[in-house]
Amino acid sequence: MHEMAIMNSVRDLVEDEAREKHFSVVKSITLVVGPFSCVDPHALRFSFDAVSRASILEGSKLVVEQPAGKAQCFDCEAIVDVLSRDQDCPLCSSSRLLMVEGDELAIKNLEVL
Amino acid sequence: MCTVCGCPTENEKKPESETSAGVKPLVYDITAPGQEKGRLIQIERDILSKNDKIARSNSEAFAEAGSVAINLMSSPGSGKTTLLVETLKALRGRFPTLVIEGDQHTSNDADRIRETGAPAIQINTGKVCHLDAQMIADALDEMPVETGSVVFIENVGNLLCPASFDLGESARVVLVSVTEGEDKPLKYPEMFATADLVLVTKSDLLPHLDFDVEALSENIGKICPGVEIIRTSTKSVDGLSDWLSWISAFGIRQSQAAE
Repeated sequence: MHEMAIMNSVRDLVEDEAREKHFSVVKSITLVVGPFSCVDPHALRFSFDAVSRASILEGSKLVVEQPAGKAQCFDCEAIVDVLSRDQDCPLCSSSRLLMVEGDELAIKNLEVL
Repeated sequence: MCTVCGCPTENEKKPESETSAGVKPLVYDITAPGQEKGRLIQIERDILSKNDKIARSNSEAFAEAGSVAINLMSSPGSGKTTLLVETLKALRGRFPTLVIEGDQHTSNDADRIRETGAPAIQINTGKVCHLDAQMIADALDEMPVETGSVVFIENVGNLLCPASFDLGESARVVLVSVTEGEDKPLKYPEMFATADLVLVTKSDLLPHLDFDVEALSENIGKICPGVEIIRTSTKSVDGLSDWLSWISAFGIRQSQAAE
């Protein structure tokens, strides 16, 4: 259940931020989860509900942004948008794509009081 | 939700149109409408930054000792421990070794390793399905790395979660056995995408199976273009020679890079 471990890290990071930036209520939290981050947004939500209880995140809104990934084609050298790792190049149909973007797993912002 | 790895069960899954990437964000609103609007703080912090920081310090500890750390990952039953046992026997007298064993429960694997004479630390992850950098840091506190050694980290048998966690290893080696499907790399791409080497294990069984090694190699190439693939078998000395040469060559490359 690695989404649980990931959500624990989120809570720890937010608690660090709260001490540094002096806030005590988080109204919403926005995470960026790339398609190659190995994280399932629905499992994240389940973990969020469990982890946020009795923490600074209790009662806050979870927003998960899922941008597309990017890959470079070994054959036509174009950089293309991709959603999965076994996708072929949409321009030249080559299967040799190297993912260059899409493993983001970050806290983007917090709306706080 | 599945109690093994936390994956959602069928009725927890949202329709595909709502979950695919590039579509509108998933919003789970559990606040009441009309509440006071707060200030927005831009954070842009990597969620795994704490793990990655510890991983960097592990990596420095390995480098300071002039050692290499190899993270072995695969599904359960691909033959990680058996390969390790035979590898350790073959490396005896050539390099000092250390094994960090990760399993949810039991010390069976560490016991098997210790029988070869190599030192082993067993980490029981309990309910956690992967090793993380802190677990490795704790293991290194318990048993420091000997100079010039090869450290093998046997991750929890799982093709999903361990891929997300940097342990500070020098190389990631993914095992896939010939009794599994040729499409494993396509089913579990994240694991294969970050591999420095793929070992095709139990190759002595090939004459008895319809397994297509070429198809497997092609699928590995789709996920991780250019990665080296080596066939191994623990049933003969020959079956390990390419893998043992890879370890030596990798160690030499690492020490040259350090100079």
